[in-house]
Amino acid sequence: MKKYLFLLMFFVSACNDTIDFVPTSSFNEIAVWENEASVKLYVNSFYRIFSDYFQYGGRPIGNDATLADGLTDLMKYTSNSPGEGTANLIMTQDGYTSIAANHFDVWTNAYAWNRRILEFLADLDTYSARFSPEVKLRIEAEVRFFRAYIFFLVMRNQGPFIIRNSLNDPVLLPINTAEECWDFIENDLDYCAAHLPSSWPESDKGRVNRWAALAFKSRIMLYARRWEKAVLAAREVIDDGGFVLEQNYSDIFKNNKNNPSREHILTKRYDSNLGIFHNLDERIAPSGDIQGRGGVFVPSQELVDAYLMSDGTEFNPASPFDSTMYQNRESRFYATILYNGAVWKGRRIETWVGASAQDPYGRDRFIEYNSTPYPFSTVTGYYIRKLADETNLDFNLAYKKSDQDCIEIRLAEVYLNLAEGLIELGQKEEAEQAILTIRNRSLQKDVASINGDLKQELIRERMLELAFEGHRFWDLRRWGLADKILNGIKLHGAKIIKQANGTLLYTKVPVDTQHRIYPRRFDQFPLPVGELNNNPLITKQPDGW
Amino acid sequence: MEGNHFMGLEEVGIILTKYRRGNRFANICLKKGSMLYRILFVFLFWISAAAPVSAQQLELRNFLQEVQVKFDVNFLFDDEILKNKTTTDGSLLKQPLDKILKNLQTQHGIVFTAIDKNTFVVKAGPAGDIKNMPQARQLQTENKKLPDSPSEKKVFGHVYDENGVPAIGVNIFDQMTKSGTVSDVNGYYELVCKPGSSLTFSYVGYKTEEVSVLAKNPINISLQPVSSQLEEVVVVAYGTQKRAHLTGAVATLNLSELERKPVDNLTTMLSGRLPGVITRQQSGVPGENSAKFFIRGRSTPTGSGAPLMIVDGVERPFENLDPNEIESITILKDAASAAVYGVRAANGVVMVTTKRGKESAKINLSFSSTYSISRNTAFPEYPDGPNYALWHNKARQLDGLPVDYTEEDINRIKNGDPDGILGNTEWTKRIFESFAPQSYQNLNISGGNAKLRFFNNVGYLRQEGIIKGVSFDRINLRSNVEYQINGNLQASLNLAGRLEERQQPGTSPGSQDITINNYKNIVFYSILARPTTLPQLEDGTYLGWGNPLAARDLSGFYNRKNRILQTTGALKYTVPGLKGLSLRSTFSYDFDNGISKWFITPIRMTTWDYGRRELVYFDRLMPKDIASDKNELHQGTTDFQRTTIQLAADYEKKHGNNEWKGLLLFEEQRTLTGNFGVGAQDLPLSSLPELNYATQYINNSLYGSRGRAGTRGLVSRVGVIHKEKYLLELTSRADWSSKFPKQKRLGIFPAISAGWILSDEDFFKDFAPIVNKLKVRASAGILGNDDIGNFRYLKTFSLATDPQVIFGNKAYLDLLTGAVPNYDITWEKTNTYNAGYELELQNGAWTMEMDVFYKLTSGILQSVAGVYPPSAGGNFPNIVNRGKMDARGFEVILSRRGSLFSGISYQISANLTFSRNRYLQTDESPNLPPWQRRTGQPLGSVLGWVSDGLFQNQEEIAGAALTTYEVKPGFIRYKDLNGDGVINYADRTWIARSPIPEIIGGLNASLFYKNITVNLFFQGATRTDLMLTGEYLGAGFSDGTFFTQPFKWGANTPYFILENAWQKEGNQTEFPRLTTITPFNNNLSTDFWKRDASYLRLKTLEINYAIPLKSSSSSGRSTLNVFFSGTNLLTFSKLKYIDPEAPTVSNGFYPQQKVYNLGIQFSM
Repeated sequence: MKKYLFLLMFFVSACNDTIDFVPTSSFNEIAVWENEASVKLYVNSFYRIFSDYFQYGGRPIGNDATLADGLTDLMKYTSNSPGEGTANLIMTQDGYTSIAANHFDVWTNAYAWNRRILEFLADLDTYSARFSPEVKLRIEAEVRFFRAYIFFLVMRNQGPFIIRNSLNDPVLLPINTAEECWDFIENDLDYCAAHLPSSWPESDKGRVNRWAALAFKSRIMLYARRWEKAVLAAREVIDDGGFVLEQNYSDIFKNNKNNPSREHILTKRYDSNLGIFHNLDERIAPSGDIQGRGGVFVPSQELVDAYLMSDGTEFNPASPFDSTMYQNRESRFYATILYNGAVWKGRRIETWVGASAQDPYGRDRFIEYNSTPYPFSTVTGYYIRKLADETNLDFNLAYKKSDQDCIEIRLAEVYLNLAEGLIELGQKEEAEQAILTIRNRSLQKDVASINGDLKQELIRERMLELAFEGHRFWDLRRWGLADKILNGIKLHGAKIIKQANGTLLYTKVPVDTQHRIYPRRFDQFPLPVGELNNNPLITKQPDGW
Repeated sequence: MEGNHFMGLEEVGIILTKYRRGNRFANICLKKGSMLYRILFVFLFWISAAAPVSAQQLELRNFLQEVQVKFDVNFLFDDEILKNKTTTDGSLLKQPLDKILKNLQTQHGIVFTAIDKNTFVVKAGPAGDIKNMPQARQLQTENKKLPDSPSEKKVFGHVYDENGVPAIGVNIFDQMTKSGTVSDVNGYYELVCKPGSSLTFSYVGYKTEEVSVLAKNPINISLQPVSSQLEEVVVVAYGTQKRAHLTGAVATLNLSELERKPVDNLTTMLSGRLPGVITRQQSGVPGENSAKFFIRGRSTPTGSGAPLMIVDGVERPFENLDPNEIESITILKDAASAAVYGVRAANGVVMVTTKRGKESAKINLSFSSTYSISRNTAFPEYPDGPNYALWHNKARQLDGLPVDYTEEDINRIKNGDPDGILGNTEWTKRIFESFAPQSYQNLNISGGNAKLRFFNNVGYLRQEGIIKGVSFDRINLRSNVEYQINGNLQASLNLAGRLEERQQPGTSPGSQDITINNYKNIVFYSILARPTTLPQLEDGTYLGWGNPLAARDLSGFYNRKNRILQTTGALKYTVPGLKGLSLRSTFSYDFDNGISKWFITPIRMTTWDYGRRELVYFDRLMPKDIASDKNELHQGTTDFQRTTIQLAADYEKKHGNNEWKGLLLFEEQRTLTGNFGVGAQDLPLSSLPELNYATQYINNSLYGSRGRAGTRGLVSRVGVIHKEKYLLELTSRADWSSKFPKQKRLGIFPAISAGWILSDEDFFKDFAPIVNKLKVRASAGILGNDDIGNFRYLKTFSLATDPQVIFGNKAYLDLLTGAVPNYDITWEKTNTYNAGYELELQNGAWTMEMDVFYKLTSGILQSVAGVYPPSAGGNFPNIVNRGKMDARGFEVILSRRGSLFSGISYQISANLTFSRNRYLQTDESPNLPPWQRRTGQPLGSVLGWVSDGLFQNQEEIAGAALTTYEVKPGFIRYKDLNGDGVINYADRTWIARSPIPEIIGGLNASLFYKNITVNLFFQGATRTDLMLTGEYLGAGFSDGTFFTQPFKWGANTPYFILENAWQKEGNQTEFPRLTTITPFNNNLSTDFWKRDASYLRLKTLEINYAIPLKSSSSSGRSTLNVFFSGTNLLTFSKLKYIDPEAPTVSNGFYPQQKVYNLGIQFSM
């Protein structure tokens, strides 16, 4: 019988946990909802939406790492090839953006996030007993902010969407009306404003708060043309938010980790030391900073010309085209643009043609657009100073390591949102004051009033104040001006040639090889192919697609 | 076969009817039979007519052989005399010799004449004529005339096989004089030998016999088969089976023919040798060149499609075993043979059996040593510096752009540049060595007695790459021991160890697939770098965007080691009380520990910008394309453990006419995996790349995890053989897999199979002279597939590996939800049907086996994302058991062995495998145009645009459908399939076949002449396409590659493009316009880039010369084999410029290798 013992031994070792066990390679629901700390980890995942769609993210427009201002008259991408030059291709080649290749599609991603948000909210109900009622409301509000944000992007890019508010909704649903969609977004933002704290404890600083919700509401209600609501939300932020306009425009964009500007309302925070960084400096730095990179997108002559003089008057387009045009401009110009002769990182920027890369003072030189696929140098004679971190000297090799915060919304915008709402409501004086609050800080001396059409001045103010912050393309679209301002134009730059006698000859040159286009159909970008193919309740694309 | 023309059906039919009148079976087949049977019979007849018909086997002769053995006498006879004579009484053998002879004389009228004490000539009675026996006559006369001289002895005799059939063409060889002869058509031979020498008798498929010349004439030899096809015992699932009794589709390869070659990866050697195996070699990187390996092609898109791999009864990979430790490889193809592996068996099973010690009088020792060199099979030719400049200028001119190279530049490239920048550097030639060496040593010792048997093996393979810095080292160790504890109890212990080490530079030498690896590899850089600059500036700075020489020599290293231990202990107990019942238990524990170390050193480089005419400095970290001036060290370990337990009861019993066989087996398997690793940077000393010396850890580079999976199964099998002719087998497995939810875990996989050995039927007797064996068989059953990720039925979350967000002054991770779980997920089911026959003609001179199969896979685990609108947001179980697919095909193998006139014998075997699959049901969006529906399409088809030649001028472009991208003359024109005037995504359709061939075949021919063996192995594949520019995983979009787009990224361009590119109106060329501007229009996935990837390869050629050595002891003899072999020596393909097995999407790949081996093998 002893002989059979070994057989028995094996049977004993065949335990039941061979095929039935708890996973060790991933988390399960019970572990995630264990306590507030673990739920926070879950909530953190929704902040990925900011990493994707804020300016420095992976997909500020659709699925391409292109800044939206590259689609406008403010900024020129220097490459003519897909990737670094996608903005140029979108705005010059009719058909480059198509139903199949839609650079503006947020829809697909929005619903993927929506599903996760709905799962979260459903589970929150299930496990609500684990939290106090206030905490539960706060958690819900924090998560609903992201739903409002991403569906705002859908609304902005692709128009009305399908409101899907429960995991039990049928798979196929029709598109809701625009009003319903705006209500849906507004409702979420109101919920956030009601239940999010005005400020978080120090260890949670950076989470979305009540003011972020209201500031966003002031922006979004402009898109919804709900002027009164925009005004109310803006006022609340300005009056009660405790935010302060910087005295000095350039201070807003300083990379000051210990003491961030009090003008910021919502930022996506970066810190190389914590392993969270982006590559903005490597992309926008003058080529003299980083050989072989930098200069991916640069300011246009059009933007340079738009800045006011330091006394608040307009720049005279007939003034001589030479270095004098850089004199006596408003302070936003100097904070935003690097031009030939500007001081940067202790050197003078020299963008004249033909400066050799070996020449320590010529590496920022001008290169003709379309002469090489990836110039990595300016094609307009300018570089971007705003947003760039002048203290960052180390990105030359570690090219992704920029860590200035990405400012998504700041107090100045809220003032301008307020102004726009008021203009539309006919309250001109108050609107004028709001604009002047912003304008005056970059003028040498305050001006008391605004000459000219207030709406036009608001448009200019948004263009200058919010340059490179990703607003102009969307603003022009919602104002119905995009096809007038962006269509049929060529952007310009300053080509500077060093004469034999050492003087510099400035020439205004077009930097687009083709005229830019803005077809009317861009006012509403198409839905994904899969939506029309698989959802019989949606029968057609927006007009023109 | 010469002299026979192929007869038509009718013609043969008539002859056959005449010849075989009265044969029932033939008549049935010819008159009433189906076309298939007609063809079969014509085929059989054709074979029989083609080869000489040998003498028949008669029972009287068998009796005489027994007499010979019993009384140690020899009979010399002619078959004619014994024809149609049968003995009546087996008991006769018990009588003394003279009585027997007398008895036979009276019974059969034959006369026995003694010519010496032990030898009798058998003559017919009164009418018998000795003249009919040429050999015998000679021996009577000449024997007397020519007595043996001291220096010469005439030896003669008769050679016959195990059935007593004269063996024709047996090689008989005098070891001393080195002279030899072959046996004649009646099996007789004679040879003048040196006394004291010894004779060897060798014959294909039989054991070589050796006899001392001192033996008395005639020296008659009965050859014993190595293994006859049908008598052979083959390894099947959880046991063995006589080949004759197989009812499933099983193919076997005994590795003797492969074993001498130093194979670094067995998968590459199997296709074309084993019918049913389809492979595609992926790369030539040493240690990484495993082929994609499928049995009967693919029948489901789920998982890798790789078969279940079993080594010595336990699930284990086999590709890195030492060929010398393998006894046989068996492929289980149909449900009948594989269903016992249940949920893991849908892709078929490969079973490898390692060698065991055999009971023998002496210890066998074998030592072999091989040295090889390898070279690229095909790599495109590239222009050198001056030619590149000329072609590039030409392209720039066509683009209407200023040229990059002035006359002065070209002069500098040719004759030297005072600035030390321009020059002529042929990068592709510089990175490849002229050859890559490889060596292989093997030693094995085996032997045993009734108590203890052992086989010990050690093998060492070292392979260097065609690119310096690449190498593969492998040591295989094995000890298989069997110990008979007592009459009833046997223990065995198999221990195998393996050490593998793969070395590469810090930059990958060449990736297989850009979707898997970093495509920026050394080969990529060697094409990317323009050949018009020097490798380095005078100050040592490397030139180039990515300098291949720097990447190879200075980028650090990537070193991977694996330590593998495989142990199996088993006990077998024959239950004494119950005859036929035995119990066995197996416990096995496998362990694979991997250690990887990747050290990356940054290389400072500068680029000459041709447009700007200046040096552009920038720093790049070549291996990873992230920029950091710090070196990095990434070190990690993986471990893998698998425990398998098997408990089995076998029962075997003969009961009357029935032979019963049963099996009941319980199996449980547990797999544990784990990994751990960390990265550090800024090591002060490159020569000491150890984590200890790093000054800084890389943020978030620490990782570690563990995972597990398990299965449990209960196997039963019952087989019965009735009258040795009728075969029936029922198997089933109940399987539980941890991959499915509790209530969906249990799966039952039954199979039934039956066989009928027709050749053993009475009605078949008339065919017996031609057809020795004919068996038909059929099977049906269900197989499963659980090759998906774990826990698809659970809601899971993954924790980010990198911090995502900052709050306060801390970075936080996040938890991301996974896909929506499928609470009903279960395995895929494949219904498999198989029918086949096995045929042996003319005593095994011809064998043929054919199988046809049909597989229907349902419940395919597939993503249904494509049928839901994006607005559903993925709120549905993503993977569901929904799809349906079928696969059909056949395999046929035909072998012939025999001899040619001048003492050359041969063995030829040809096989062909065909397998075609298609989607029967797959979830597709209802609005998809019909030309894009996947349903009905084979797996792996390529979606893309249909090309319509090249635009020749602007007018043609103006008249054509609109495209998204710029179009110029010389660009590809696309067909507007839906006629809407626009070329867009809707105009895509299925344009190319899978890169996995539908048809693969092999021809294996061996020639034996005296001591020389020549083996040729051709492998061919067809019905497969290669996309020069590939599809990005189903998206239908693609990008230009170095093999389609001239001067992509300024890279060098192979001559095949340059010389065949469109240059002016009227050019109908293979490649579009010569341009330096990215032609997006041409870089789509289109049939313009499709090439037929059919090929025929001389996969191996081997020549072996066996030198018998004088044995030092009397106990045995020693042999020294000297051999040469080559792999991939010749390739015939429509692709002139690239290897037909090159990866489909590629910007530079490590080329396939042709290998030349020279080796010796010594055995004693």
